[in-house]
Amino acid sequence: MSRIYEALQKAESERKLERREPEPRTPEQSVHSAIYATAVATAEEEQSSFTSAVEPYVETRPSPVQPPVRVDPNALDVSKIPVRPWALSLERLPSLLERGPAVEQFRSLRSRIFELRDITPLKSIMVTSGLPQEGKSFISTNLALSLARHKSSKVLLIDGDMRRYTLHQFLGCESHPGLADYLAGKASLAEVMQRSEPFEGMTSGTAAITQNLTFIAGGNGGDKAADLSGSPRFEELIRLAAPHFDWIIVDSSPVLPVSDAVNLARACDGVLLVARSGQTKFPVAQRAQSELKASNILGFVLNAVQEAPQVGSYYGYDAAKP
Amino acid sequence: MLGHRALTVQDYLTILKRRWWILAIPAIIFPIVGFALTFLVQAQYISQTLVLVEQQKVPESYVKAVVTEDLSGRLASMKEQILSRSRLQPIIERFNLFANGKLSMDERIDLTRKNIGITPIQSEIARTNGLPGFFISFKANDARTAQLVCGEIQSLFVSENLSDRAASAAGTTEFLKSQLADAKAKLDEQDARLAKFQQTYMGKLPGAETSNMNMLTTLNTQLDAATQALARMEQDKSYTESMLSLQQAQQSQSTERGAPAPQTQLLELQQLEAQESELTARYTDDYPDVVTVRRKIKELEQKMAQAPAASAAPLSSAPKPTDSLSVQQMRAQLRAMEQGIAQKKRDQAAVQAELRTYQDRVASSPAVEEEYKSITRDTSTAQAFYDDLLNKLNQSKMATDLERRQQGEQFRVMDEPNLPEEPAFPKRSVFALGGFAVGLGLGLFIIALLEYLDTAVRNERDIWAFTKLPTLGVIGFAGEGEPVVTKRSLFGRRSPDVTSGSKPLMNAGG
Repeated sequence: MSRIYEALQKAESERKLERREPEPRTPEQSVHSAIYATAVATAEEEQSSFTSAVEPYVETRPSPVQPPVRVDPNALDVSKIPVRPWALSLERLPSLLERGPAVEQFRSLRSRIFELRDITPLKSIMVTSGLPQEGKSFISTNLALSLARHKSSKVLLIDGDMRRYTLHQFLGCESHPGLADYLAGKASLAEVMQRSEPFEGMTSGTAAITQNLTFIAGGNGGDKAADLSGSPRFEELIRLAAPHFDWIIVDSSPVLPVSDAVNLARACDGVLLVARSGQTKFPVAQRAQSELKASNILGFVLNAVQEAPQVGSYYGYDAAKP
Repeated sequence: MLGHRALTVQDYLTILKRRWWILAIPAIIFPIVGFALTFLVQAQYISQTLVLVEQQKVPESYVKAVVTEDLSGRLASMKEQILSRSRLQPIIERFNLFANGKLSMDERIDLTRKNIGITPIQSEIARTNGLPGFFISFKANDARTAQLVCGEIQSLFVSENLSDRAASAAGTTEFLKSQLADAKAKLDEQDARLAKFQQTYMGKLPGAETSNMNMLTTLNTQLDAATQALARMEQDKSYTESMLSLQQAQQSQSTERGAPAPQTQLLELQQLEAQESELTARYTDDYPDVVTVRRKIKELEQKMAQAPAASAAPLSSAPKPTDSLSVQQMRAQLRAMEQGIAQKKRDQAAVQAELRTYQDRVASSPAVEEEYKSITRDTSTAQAFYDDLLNKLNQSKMATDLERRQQGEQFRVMDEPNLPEEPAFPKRSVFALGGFAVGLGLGLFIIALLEYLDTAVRNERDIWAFTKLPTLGVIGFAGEGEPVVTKRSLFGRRSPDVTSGSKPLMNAGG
């Protein structure tokens, strides 16, 4: 039932999106920006290490009729997104499994987000928490994968934690070029994105999911991360990417020690706060909430609950027996 | 979260589920500690004996008990006596109680007193007001001493009760005896008074009135009879005298031819006068009979006056030699008559005197009666008192005898003092239970403290309570970060086609 409902939701949202499509997608468009030009050298150096062949990005959605409009020079050309070998870490990505409690839990989280989208327009969601080690990256990655389960649901996952980026470990891919490079103007948007190449033995389910997932790694922000997070280029990134994706999930650094996430949150439609059960103190949660009071906090995700509700048990799923 | 927000039952259950071991460990350890403590604490043994109070064997209706004080009262006074220093000190010295060396005798006595317990049995079956018996218990540091001292105290009680009762009964008897002696003296005094009174007022006493009255009537009749006899005798005498004078006249006529004897004329006159008085009483003076009688009287008087007064020889009974035999007889008769008359007169006087005495008695009897009554009342009171006392004394004597034969109410030892097998303190089970309770309490306290200090959010309710934000998702513990071996094998088994960790499955680039 929930899946049928989600499909309906999805169709509905797509129709809305198409109505709100701010700009037409222009394929076969090269990126020529000043910022990019300065960063070409380093980018190319880094590119040299990537030996993957770029595959044409197949659009699954019907292209709308293209009216003659002004072309943004920085517009994203999705066909230029490089495809790289990923090695998904299943232990960290339980939402990839065929079934299980985690799959159901993320599915219900996804349903809630769909419901929220029905109330207000919602595309870019930042995931953050008060303190480190509360499961932001885990939640954001699995949420992105869960959202990508839908056919023709394009998801962009951004590792916004430029100081301790970890998402590439989840996906088993390179960590740069990444967001820091783009914000610093060292790389174009298409260069910092990456997609998974299908590999041998990948289950059909996983393949279908990874097909819909595009990832921007953390990149080497280093000490400049705080300055970079305040850069207006992040907003531009969201603006540019938005037409091509249904969901943009941004992982970020914790809000209390550093202010990066607060800066990034301004560009996002909504913020998901992560609390780790039994570890996150409520004053921390309250302070994180007050730090982000300028943004739209969607709600909390309670992570690492010892006895999570068995949402899938109704359907006869048994968590213990796959 | 305890103390930071209102918790539901569910919350408490999850707290218990999470921290049960904190509850369990002290709850297991403390009973063991408590049990171990029982071996370290000095044991206290309680020996107990049951003394039953037996009713007297002879029914109360036959012999009334002398000692009627309520048993509980007697027990209390007995207890005070027994727990007195003079009684306890020998026991303490004999059994060397509480001889820790530091304690003074007073403190030891106090301790001993504290360790003696006397508790009455409350029973519904026995008398409603009393108690059929009582327990005596003694607490000591070793079983044997407890038993011995308990027995000692019990025997003290029993003997005390016996002697007490016997003394009480004997005392009652003695007292009654002295009272009885007094009463007897009083009664004797009263009796003497009464006897004296009776002697004094003999015949005037109440109850003698009827006999007095009877005597009066008889005396009256006697008096009447005497008077009548006297009158008759006087008549006879006068007749005899007249006869005598007639005889003498005839004698003298035969010698001197004397006129007709005036005696007959006199008699005639007398008769006429009597007749006249009779007639005048009935008729008026004009009545012919009266007139005739009066005329006759006149004529007779004239005749007598005309007749020369014959010098009548004095009539005497003195015999004269000249007298004839008949005259002499007459004279003798006359003499006898005179004597008879004198006798009668004496009789009459005696009767009259007696009559006066009796009249006097009857008259004075009311005053006497009053005094007599008061005296008899006092006497009867004293008598009743004496009888009562006598009765009581007899009762008391019986009761004393009953006590002496030990047939009265007495203390019977039902259970001899037992040799306690287990110490009354410390009770192992109680200590273990107490330890368990303390352990539970401590566990709960620790849990409460930890929960108070633990401010981590754990569920949607916490998040809602502190941030008023909805919880969109609850993700179970997936062990991310530190992959667990078993989980890895599970995953491996589940999906052997997918690599684990961050190693690329296909290193396309090398």
